[in-house]
Amino acid sequence: MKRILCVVLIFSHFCVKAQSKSKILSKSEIITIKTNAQGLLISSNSYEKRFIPKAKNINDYQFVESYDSFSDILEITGHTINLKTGKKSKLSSYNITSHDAILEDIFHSDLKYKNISFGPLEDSSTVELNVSKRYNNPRLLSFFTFQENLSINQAKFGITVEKGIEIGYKLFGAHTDEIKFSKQEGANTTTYNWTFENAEEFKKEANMPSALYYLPHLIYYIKSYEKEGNQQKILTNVDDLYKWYNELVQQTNKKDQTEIKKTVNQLIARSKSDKEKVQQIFQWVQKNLHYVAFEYGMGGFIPRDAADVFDKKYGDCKDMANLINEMLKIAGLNSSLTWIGTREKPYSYYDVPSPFVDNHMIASVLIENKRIFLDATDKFCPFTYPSSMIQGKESLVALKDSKYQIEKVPVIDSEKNKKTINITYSLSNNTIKGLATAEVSGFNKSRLFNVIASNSSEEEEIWKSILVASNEKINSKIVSKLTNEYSEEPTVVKYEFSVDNWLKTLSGKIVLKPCLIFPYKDAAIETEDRKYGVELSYLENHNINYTITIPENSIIDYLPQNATFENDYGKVEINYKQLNKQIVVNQEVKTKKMNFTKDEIIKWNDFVKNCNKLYNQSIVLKNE
Amino acid sequence: MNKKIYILLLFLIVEVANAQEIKSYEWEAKPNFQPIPEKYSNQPAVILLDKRWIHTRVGQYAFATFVMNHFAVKINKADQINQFNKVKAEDNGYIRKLRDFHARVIKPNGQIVVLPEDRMVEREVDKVKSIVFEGVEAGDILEYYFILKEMPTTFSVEVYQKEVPVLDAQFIWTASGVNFQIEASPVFSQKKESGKNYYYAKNIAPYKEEPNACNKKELVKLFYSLNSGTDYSNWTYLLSTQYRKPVFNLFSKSKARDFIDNLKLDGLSLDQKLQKLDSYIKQNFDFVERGETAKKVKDLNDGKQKLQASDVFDLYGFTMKELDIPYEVVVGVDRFYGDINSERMVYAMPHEVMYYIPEVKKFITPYEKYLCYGNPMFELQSSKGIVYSPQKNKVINRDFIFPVIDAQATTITTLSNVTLNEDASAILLKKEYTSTGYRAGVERQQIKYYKELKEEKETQDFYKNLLMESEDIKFTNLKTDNEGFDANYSNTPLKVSADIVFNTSTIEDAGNLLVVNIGKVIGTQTNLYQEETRTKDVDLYMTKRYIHKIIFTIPEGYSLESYESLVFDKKMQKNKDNAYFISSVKPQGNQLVIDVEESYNKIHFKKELYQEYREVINASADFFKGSIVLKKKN
Repeated sequence: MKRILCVVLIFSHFCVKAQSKSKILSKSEIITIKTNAQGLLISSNSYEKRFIPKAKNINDYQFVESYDSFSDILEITGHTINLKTGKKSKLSSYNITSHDAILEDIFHSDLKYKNISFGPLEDSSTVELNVSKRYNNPRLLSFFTFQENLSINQAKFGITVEKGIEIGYKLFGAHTDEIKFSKQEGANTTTYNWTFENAEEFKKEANMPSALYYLPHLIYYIKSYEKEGNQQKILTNVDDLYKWYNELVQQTNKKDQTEIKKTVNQLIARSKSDKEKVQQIFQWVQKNLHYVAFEYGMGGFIPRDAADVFDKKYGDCKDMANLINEMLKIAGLNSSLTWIGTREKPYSYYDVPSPFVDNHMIASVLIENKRIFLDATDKFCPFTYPSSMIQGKESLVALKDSKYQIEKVPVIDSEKNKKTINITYSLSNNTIKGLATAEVSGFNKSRLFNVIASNSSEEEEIWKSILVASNEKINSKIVSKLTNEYSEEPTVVKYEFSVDNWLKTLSGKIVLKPCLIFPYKDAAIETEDRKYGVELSYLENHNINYTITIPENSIIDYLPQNATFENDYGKVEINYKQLNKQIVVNQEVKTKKMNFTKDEIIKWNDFVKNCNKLYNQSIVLKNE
Repeated sequence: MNKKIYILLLFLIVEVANAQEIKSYEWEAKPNFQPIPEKYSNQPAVILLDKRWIHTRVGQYAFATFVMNHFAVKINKADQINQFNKVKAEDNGYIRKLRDFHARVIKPNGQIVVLPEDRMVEREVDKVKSIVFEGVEAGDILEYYFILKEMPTTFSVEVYQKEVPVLDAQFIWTASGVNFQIEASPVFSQKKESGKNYYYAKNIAPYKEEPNACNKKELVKLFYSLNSGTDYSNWTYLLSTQYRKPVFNLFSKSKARDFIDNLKLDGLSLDQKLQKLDSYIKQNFDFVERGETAKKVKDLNDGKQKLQASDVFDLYGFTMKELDIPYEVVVGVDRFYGDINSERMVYAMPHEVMYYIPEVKKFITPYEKYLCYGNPMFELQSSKGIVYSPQKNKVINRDFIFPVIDAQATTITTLSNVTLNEDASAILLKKEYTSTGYRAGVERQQIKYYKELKEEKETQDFYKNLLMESEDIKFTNLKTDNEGFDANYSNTPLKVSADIVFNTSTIEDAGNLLVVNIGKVIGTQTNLYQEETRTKDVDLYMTKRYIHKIIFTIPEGYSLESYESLVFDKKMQKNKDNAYFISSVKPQGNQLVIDVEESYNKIHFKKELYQEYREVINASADFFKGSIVLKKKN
């Protein structure tokens, strides 16, 4: 939800590539937390000094400072120094402009930013920037990164708190063992310091997990403070976090729900089981609600009233979750609002009991003692599946009587994300011709419909891609399709197809590569200079069966041996069988691990290499 | 006299009326959109109306634009709702006031649900208001209009074509104190009614991008620009003020004369003079980039320096003027974006300016670092240009055609020596790559860029791509020759060679047969296998020719069984030389010699010839997949 926006802003700045290297000489931030009559006074003073060797690296001396209704920017000062002449130029207020942050998936938010643009500069200059900020909500603080897109000589972060204020903190990412920590007790204050030196520039890599898994960064939060001798708890543990969340969600759903009840009753009228009731309600929300996100003030945390969302037919994740939850409760089911951090976030509620842990809300329901996670933001997410972006993550499930539990969302097995393709073909001259039936299920199915929805003009090509994505030589024509968008049945597409120049004819012999579809054939990942691991969206299984008619007057001269390769990352198996005048080939390929480290990539590549080795087997036919 | 007063009065009344009319624009209480044609009935959504009206007032007490956008879309598939259910009332980013904003949903049964104004939200800084349509279902029509008062912009582009069809597209302009100049796609018709200028188009097909096509040029759109009486964009005015006399910002004319003296051009032929001038400027002067401060130049001959782009341009002109070399200034437009307007510059269209030397019919392109004196930029070939003579101070040709450079000039050759590794499980490749013409010019510039960048991975990726396109390889023993800029003048081939190992599989097993995917050594070839249908003509950047020679050494213990999948003879049917892919294979002792010639001798093919062109392209992709079959000797 809200916190992720700051990360997006920071990372949009990371993507800018320097042409010749600027560097951050020093970067620091001091957070000061004091008590006052109202509660807590939280301020931040940050400082950054950069060396800019080339004036043309304009992106390296432009800064972005974000703020919203939970934080204010109090002061921005800065200057540049021309190292050749020693001339110092102060940052002018004309160089600071305010903007609304416009984010792709957020329709309306209170996130804004100051664009701070130093310049004009001469080659070999330094820029220095000081920013003072105030945080207005003790639960919604920020984080500090020790690595950026430019190399950093020294990054320092400090928190000074009055006696009686207890803070929590945890380091995440790589190099955390190299970050030096110290704690100093003063007369009335305690100061915590973290220092990291010589951080190289951070560069994103293809297929890597969220950068938060690798960027060394510190999450900090206020556990409690003393007021008039009493401990005031803020976020001492998950209990406090949940208590706050629970107070927020109690503020909604005050409006009349008669219309919702009518719809629920209609939806479940014919349901024979609780599971069917859930399915009816969940899929009604999937079909009828459209994702529109408002992140404004506490609106980033409190779901809008279910009656409003029902009426307007749009909302963000928490609005959809809340409506599903209310509808399920009307249906008499044991449903819960459920907070969760998507796979973007590497945190656990146990490590950091702070709103920074999560960025998403779903509903969940207990059916026959098994929890079903319901995320309607994926319009085509199969019923009973969590959305792919929350697989394996901890969820914070609201229970009755202000209780909660933390439960892990399952990772969906490859068997449930299956593509089964049955292909029959015969040989004619140098061409093969045949029929194919593809059945697509699970996340493969939901991805198919999501891609079509956002690329409507390419719909025909997308349907064909099920067959031709790994072999563009297949010339296909769609014969029929059974979409089954919201059914548990797979999507079924039938094709006629041909492939020209697929055979190699020798004197009296035909060499035929029987496999036409090659999952993961180009999925090898370059290991040279690779720094980070790899993340797959989900596990999947490809089961492709070929039935090949042997031409008249031909017999098999050579049939490849059945072969299997399996490691911890995937399995490929191809079996060959002759049945009268037909050859039956079964090709099964599946992935077994969604995340792997940099060192594990070699084994993934080994799996890919063996896939290709097994695909590159040919049958030889000869004249009878 | 009375008649004149009457006409003037009428003119003023019409203008005031237009200003009032746009401010009080309203939709029909009961909308009446044109029916959706049968051919669009299966579209996920259909835009029923896209009407935009711009009224600009510029005068002593007026400086404002009123913009009215009225839009309606029928949603046929629920998954399209998210594409259309959010509206932001913004136009050019300089909003002064939102005067009106209405949105409504029209249900299939005709029920009209108007969104209450309190649903509007406003951004805090730029004050843009927006609204989300509520209760939308498949089958609904979403309609809105808003009227903004904003600061006028001098030019803009209005794009009408979308991924779904547009049945009724309208652009209206009215103005006082200024005049609009319009450049609209050919599908627009024009009329003038009640003082309003209408541009309208019906049934605009959904946009679809196609490979090797002028996609941006054919996108249905409309350029407009404003002028206040005098048309400063007309070529005569524009070129004469900009290019009649060379003017320098960072150095004086005497410095420029010193520069010319130091070049020592006396006694050289015209070609030699211009080549020497071009070579010095291209290799010694870089443009002052964004963020950099332009500095006065003390001595133009003092090695590498930074100059403003206009100074570089004028330094060529000044030198030619001083040396009495007749020259002209030519302006063109990237043909993938549009055609040049013969009367005036259309702002927002990418114009290219260069010199033309009529005596030798050659070009100097000061702004293109990759291109040497000789040819025009490849994007301009066969398009029209405007020629201005500084000596005569007039536009002397509005129908100039940029020449198309022959395919022989841009030739890519590869020589591949191929063996198998010890256990005959992979191809080992020694490859030599050469390029000439436009390709060599661009690649030399890239090599220079990567040398200066000093980023190893990016540099490696560049060479991998140069040698093998997107194939996954590792290379060693990289050598480059003739990479200096001066090699462009003689069209000496750029040469790059390396030893290459494939990371992907190149050998297939078939019992005692070995299938060697030798086609791979020419590098990945683009294909049009899946692009069966075509709506646009085929346009290529340049004519070009590829000549590949592959020498494969048959490993000991193996005999040659088959190479038929490497033999192609694919030519366009009517004019066989326009495009072809021909390959032949000759066994010579223990070697197999494969010769490939692929050529594209035109840069434009009518869409009717697409299938023939596609077959040639696909032949190269088929060759890439082609193999030889070896048999283990007993």
